[in-house]
Formats: sequence, C-alpha cells, structure tokens
Amino acid sequence: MSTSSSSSKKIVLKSADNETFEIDEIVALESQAIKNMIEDECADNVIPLGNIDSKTLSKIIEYCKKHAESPKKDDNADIDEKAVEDLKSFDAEFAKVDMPLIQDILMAANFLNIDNLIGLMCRTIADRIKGKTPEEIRKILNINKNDLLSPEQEAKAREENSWAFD
Amino acid sequence: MKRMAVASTSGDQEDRFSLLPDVLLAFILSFVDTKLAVQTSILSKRWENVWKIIPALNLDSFGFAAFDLFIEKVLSLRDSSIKIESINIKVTDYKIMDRVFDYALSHGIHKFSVDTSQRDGGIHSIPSFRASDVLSSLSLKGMLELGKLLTFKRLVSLRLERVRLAEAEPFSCYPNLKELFLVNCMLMTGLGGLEVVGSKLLKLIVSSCFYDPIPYERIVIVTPKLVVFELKGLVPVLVEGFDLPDLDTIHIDCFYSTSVLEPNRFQQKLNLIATLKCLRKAKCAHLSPTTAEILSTSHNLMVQEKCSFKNLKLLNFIPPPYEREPVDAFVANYLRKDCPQAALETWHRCVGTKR
Repeated sequence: MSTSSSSSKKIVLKSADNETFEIDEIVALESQAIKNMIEDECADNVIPLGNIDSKTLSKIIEYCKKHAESPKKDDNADIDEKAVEDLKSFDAEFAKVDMPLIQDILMAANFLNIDNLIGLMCRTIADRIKGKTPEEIRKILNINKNDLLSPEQEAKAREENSWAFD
Repeated sequence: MKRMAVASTSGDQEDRFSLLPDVLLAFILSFVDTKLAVQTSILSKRWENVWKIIPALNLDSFGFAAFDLFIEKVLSLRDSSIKIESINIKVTDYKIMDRVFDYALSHGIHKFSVDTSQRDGGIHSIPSFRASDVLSSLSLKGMLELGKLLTFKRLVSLRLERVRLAEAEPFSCYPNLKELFLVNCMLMTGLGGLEVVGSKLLKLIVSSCFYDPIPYERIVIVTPKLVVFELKGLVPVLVEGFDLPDLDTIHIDCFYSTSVLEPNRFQQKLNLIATLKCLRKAKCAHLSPTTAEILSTSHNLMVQEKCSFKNLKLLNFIPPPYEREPVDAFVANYLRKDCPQAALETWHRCVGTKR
C-alpha cells in the first residue's frame, strides 16, 4: 500500500512481516513516537516496526491518515461541526473489528504513542465489557487461563470485596 | 520507545492484555461503572489491583443496598498516589452527593458530573462557599439549586439540566468559562430575567422545552467572545445581547407557547425577531422549520425591526420531519438582503425534489 502526493515528504514504515508502507510525513506525525524520532533526526528513510504486523499497521495508517486530514479542533477558531461529526462516524466504523485486532491496535498505538487511538480502543473495549459478568469478560478479553485465581482465592476476593458484588 | 513483544494476529488464544501496562488497563476501566471495575479484581491475577489505579470514577447508586459503603470502600481502598481526574455520580441521596462533591473539590478533581434526576421531589441547594482552583468541567442534573457562592477559577465547561438558578446573574464567578449549557433550567421566582456574563464564553446553548411556566422572560447575554449560540424552546424567551462581533454559528429552534400564561402571539413573534436582530452578526444561521413558520407570518415585523443578517455566509433552513410548505421566499430573501452572496440551503434543494 502506498499513498502519494508528490509535494510532501515521505516516511516509510516497515512491519514485523517486512511489508513496507510509504506514507506522507504529516500522517506519520500523528504518532508522537515517530514525531520524536523525526525531530531528533534519528529516523532513517525506513522506520522498522518489528513488533507490529502488517494487518495492524495498515489499520493504524488508515486511522492516522483520516485524522491527519481532518481539521484540528481549536477552541478559538471556528468550530467545524461537520468535520467533528465526520470524524466521529469514522471512528465508530473503524472500531468495528474483532477483539484480538482491537487489542493489537491498542498495543501498537501505545507503542507509537497515538493518544486519540489509544482512547478510542480503550473506549471500545470498555463498551464491550459493560454489563457483563466476570465470567463473560474473561471470554471477551481472552484472559490467560494460567493466570486465573484459584477457586479459594476467588472466593476470598469476593468475600473481601462483597460491597461491590451485591 | 518502549519495548514491546511481537503481537501476532495469528495466535488468537494468547492473552494480549498481559503485554499492556497497568495504566492502559486502568484507562479502559475508567469508562465503565466503577462497580464493574472493582469486580474485575477477580478476573485474573493480572487484574487483581488494576481497579485501584483508575483515574475516573463512575458511581451509580442504582441497585445498591449500601451505596455509601461502596463509595467509602472505593475511596479508602484505592491507591491514593494515583490522582482521580473525573467523577461521575448518579445518586438520589443528597447527603452522598454533597459528600462526593466535597471529596472531588478537596482532591483536585478536574471534572465532576452529578445526576440526581431519578429522585422524586425535593429541591436541594448546592452547598455554597465551595472553591476549587482546578475544576474545569462541571455538570449538574436534577432538582438542584445553584447560587453564586461557588468559586471555580478554572471552570471551562458548565452544564446545568433542570437546575434552578437562585441568582439572576450566576455565571460571572467563573472567569474562564468557555462553554455553557442550560437545559430545561429555570430561574427562581421573582428574578425575571437571566443575565449571562462571560468574558471568555465561546459557546452558549439554551434549551427550554417546558411549556409552562416560561423559564426566563428574557436572557441578556454579555459575552463579547461568543462564537456559537443555540436556542431551542419557546418564543417568550427574549434574547438581548450587546455587540457579538465574533458570532459564527447560530441554531434557532423556536415554537409558539400555547399556555394562557404566556404573552400573546404578537409579542412572541416580536421576541423571536428581536432575538434574531441581536444575533445579526452571525455568519451561519440554522433555522428550524417551526422558526421559519413563525417568520413566514411576520413579514411586516421583520421589516419594521430590521432583523436582517449583516455578515451572513450561510442561511440554512433545517428540513422538517414531514413534508410541508416550501420555505417562504420573503423570509429567505429578507434575512439575506444585506448579504446577497450568502448561500441558501432549504430542504427542497437538499433532497433535490421540487424547487
């Protein structure tokens, strides 16, 4: 995948599975981590992201492109409600993916330091566990079976925190 | 950059959360009911103590036998080295509300929101003589009464719903206020008009849909920086303002009141037109179908009061929910008469049917 508008500076990102993505610098700057690298001039032509696979990375680029294109909200300037609405509906569509991918995006967004995307993923996960029982949440979040409390420990925890379980 | 283990989308059985820092797990829990957040302590060892560092509390008394005990436990058992950013509370017991409000103010909370609308009857005064130098967002909903004795120097956003205002000029004690929402609020009897004073106010939204009584006979806005103004409700509301040079967008959705207590229809029309005149420097005007309808029977008054816009770029007649008469051409032309270049949008053009 590549995007092009010949005028602006390009950044190339390389995923864990060695796929390269050429993007405009302005899109890459949505990531505070990449921004810092560019500012510190320690970004080579190609930035390797050895812990993000291509599926996750292409989603993240999709997000950053949309947000980079959208006019920034500035409380002293005119408030462009249409752009805000448009971005909201983009975010809602963007988050309609399965839980493993949401978790991958969240981890990668945390690594790349993209605040808005971290928030979006956390809100999405929160929405999916709302009103659910602990048993259901374990399934939704794919919680590691080796990490579970023993039945005795769980009974004890429920007892101690009974004020939150009635 | 921080190190991170490779996450692969192929091995779907792995617990990805084991790779995330605690603060992110806590961030997720800051969007759910705090009761659920505490319950995640039994999910796994990893989650045992995450709830203790959540930066936002969402407290809801619904379904609780001992809500006050729950709140005391949460506040005392959580990790006090982690600051709480915001507290949302839904509660019917005013004592608990005051307790949590005081906690919020004394612990430097930035956002506080309270909803007591599930309570039946009994108006409650928000405790006065409270101050905070950090509170930036406050939302009050319910049968609450707000006076003037709260000093919140940094308050940026204030939302009041169904709140009774005990002062005619209650907002000047928030010198940094930028957004003010008044939803179905009312003024204490005898105060007559409401004065909105805000030297930094950018956005003012007044929505009053009660039929009886009139929430405010008039609203005087002294807001030199105002950019957005929305008015929804009865025509008896008369808005008067001083110069509003930066006004950009207005949404006006007015309708007649049929209550016998209200001024007659002629006076109501006059109020609407005077309100438009006060907003004449707006660049984008969005008018509801009912507003357009009132104007279409007020041609002479419009001319007499000279309510045409001065800096208009867009005049938008919001489409009605069902088919009605087309927009009155006189109204559309008169409002734009000083700005003939302003774009006109009507539902007929929007849906592309008859013109």
